[in-house]
Amino acid sequence: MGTVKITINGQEYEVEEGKTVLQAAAEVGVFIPHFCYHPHLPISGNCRMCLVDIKPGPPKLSIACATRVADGMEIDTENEKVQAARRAVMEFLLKNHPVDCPICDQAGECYLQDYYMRYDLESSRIQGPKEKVKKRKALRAGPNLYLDTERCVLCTRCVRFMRDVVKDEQLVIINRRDKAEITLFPGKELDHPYGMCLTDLCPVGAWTSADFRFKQRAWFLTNSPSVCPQCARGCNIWIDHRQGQVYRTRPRVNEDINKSFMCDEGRLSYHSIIDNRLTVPRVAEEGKMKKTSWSEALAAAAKTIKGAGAKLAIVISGSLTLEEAEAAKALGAKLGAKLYVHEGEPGWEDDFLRRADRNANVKGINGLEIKDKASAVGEDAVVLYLETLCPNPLPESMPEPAVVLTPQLSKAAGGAKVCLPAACFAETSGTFVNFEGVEQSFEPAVEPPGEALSHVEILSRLAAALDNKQVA
Amino acid sequence: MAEEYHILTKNWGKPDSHKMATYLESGGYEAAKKALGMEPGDVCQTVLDAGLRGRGGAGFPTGRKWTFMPKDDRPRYLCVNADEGEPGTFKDRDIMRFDPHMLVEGIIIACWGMQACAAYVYIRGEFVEPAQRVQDAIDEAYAKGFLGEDIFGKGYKLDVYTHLGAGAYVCGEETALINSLEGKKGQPRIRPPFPPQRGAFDMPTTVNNVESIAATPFIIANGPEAYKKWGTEKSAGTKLFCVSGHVKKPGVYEIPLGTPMMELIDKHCGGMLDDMKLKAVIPGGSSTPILRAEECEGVNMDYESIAAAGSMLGSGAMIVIGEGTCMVTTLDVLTHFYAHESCGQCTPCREGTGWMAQITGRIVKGEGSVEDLDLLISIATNMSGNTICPLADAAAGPVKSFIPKFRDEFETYIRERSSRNERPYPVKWRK
Repeated sequence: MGTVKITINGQEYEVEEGKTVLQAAAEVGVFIPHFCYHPHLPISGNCRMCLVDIKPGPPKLSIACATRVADGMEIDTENEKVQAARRAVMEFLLKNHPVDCPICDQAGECYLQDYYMRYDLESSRIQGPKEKVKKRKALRAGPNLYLDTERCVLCTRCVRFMRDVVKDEQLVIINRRDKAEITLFPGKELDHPYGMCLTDLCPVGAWTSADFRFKQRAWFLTNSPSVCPQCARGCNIWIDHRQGQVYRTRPRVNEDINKSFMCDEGRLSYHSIIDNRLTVPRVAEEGKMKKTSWSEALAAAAKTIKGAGAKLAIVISGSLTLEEAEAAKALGAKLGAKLYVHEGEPGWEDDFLRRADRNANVKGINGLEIKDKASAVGEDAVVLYLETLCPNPLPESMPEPAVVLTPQLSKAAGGAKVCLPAACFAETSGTFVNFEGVEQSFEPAVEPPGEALSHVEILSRLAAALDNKQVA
Repeated sequence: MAEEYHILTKNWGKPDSHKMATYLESGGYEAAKKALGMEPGDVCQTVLDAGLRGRGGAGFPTGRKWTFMPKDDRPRYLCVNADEGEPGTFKDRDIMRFDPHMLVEGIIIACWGMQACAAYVYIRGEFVEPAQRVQDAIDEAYAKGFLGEDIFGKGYKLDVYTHLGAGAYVCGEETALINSLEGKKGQPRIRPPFPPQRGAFDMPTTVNNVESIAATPFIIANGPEAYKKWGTEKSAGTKLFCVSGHVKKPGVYEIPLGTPMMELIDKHCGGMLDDMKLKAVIPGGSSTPILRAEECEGVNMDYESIAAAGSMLGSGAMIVIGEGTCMVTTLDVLTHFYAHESCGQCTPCREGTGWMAQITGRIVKGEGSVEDLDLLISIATNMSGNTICPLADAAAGPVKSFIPKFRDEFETYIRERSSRNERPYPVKWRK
């Protein structure tokens, strides 16, 4: 692909051939406002917000999203004509837009708000709310979604996502003129496993998440980059949290892995970061799990492990990070115990993102020469089990683990002699290797709850406890 | 009585003018036979030489349009635009009713010129009778071997289909027409790609108006010079004008381009109804700027002369407005029409047309203010030129021409909350 020379606002640039004006401008740092354009959706060209002045060309303005760069093109994104057209488009969009920002979840990350402040700032010329076209509001459009067609700017991003990306045309625009609105087929719900992507794609508050509804204002949230551990794809995500509490996860753009998308299951799995967490070490006593201190719990664990001798088997979850798996491997080498990786039964798969392998890091763990499956663990083995969030059920042939390192009160934790509270992916740094072999590292977003420690830290303390001669 | 210059209407009024037998009697399908003996490029060149300009409204040279079809091995299609939805336009309907074979013959010529393998006649849904006549003509042509496999024994295969629209004005726009033909929602597409690159079913397509296609048999049969005998230098040939409004004999008239407007009104249409005074003329369909009576003086019915007067020839739909007609309610009818017909795709048109209709609506109800007039102009200006298709410009056109040209009347209406005109409502159905 060659390059072409273009001029944007008087400045000359050399850009890749075949790009659109909007893309080329963005790459050199000139932002052109837009609603309907999205880098991972087909071009629609209907919002008219990206109108710019292009010479040579027709005397009227051209849309930057659909015009390809050509050699010698002179683009003006800020002249009076362009600004006037933008103000006009903003006025038209706001003509029938309900000003319900105070109760709209999109407030703070709404294109209409941002563009109004940046490009418009004109007062309304309509004669009050009676002139606004009324449409449907707060419609429960699916298990995870609310639809508000009054807020909709009819950019058709959602329609194009359903039609062209996931290829399940559940949405259409009915009616013409200012009565046009997004709708589902009569009596149907939007039940697609990627349906919540509409809440990210929607530039305004028409599609909002039922899960996040009225929970937090967007501007209070801190966004931390991370990687979704729910399957072998390793979708890049943002973890949005405030005061240690995670409120939602959203896809983070990665051109090679998940573009701008993720599945609803992965998105909603953040609940497991909050719910049902193990926060203090526990030891089984007279058939009951009793809360205890770290030192007692570690001593109990060390005792169990020493008592197992050659029968010790270390089973690690396929969603453990590389760093955690390496620590487990080091411990195994030290104790002469064999390592097994627990993958569980395959889940659902599609030809879009979701992989049947429900673990985040099987490829990475296999790369550490830990390849035996948990089903190969002997019946008389004493198992040290390193678990992660949303664990897959252990194989029935495997004996109940004696010592469990786990972030949550899982089934395995219930039957163990000692369970130690571990941090989850959102609370540690680490590396996952996805099914294609892409290594992705991430940093902690929040602190672990209670007394929980990272797997690596627990293993190192466990090793120290094992070295302690006082333990019989 | 058939005049010498009656090219398109020569068979109109004959008994069974829509039948094959009548058409063949008047030398029908000889031009198609002649065309198939010519090189396709020569057919295009002949039509270009004749100076035939697109009769749908834009006035682009038809022969040039045909040469835009790419020379690759993809199948090519012709779409005949018989959607005819512009208020005031009803010329194509009569071609299809009274002489559908002229259209079918024109289709054969155009398709040969472009080497198209199929033609789709997209007919406005309300045109039940014309659509039936076109279908009957196509069936007759198939039976005669003028369509289908091996036309006239020349080894050329052509299929022609009719397709009924579903009632949207915007489907007269070529890319919306193509979407509708494909079974999609009738919304214009962004260009590029233009239809000759990727049109109907993603294949090279040319969309021509019925009248443009129907004019080609005469041009092929008699040569470009015979066609150029009529009309002006830049607006060659004859054109159908559909005259409606306050004239004694409204209807479709074929006259050479360049005929004075007053001659069309006074001679052909029998003068003004009830001999009332002329107030204004919308010369080319409802979207073209209105001309006040004094602006019509000396205007000829051709592309250049009407453009010089500040309007457009458009589709030749002349709406004659007599003194005593309320321009405020007339504009209200038009703004409501465009609001109803905006496809809802582009922001400015979707919201702007509805807004303008709201404002004219409140003016008509007596709730408007003088500031509303400037607001209307501002909205119309903001819409113009900023959308995918020209519907926004069409909707803005009447507002931008009515208000400045009849500002006094609008202000009087607003002040007095009613019309001083003897005919306050242009049509019965709106209050």
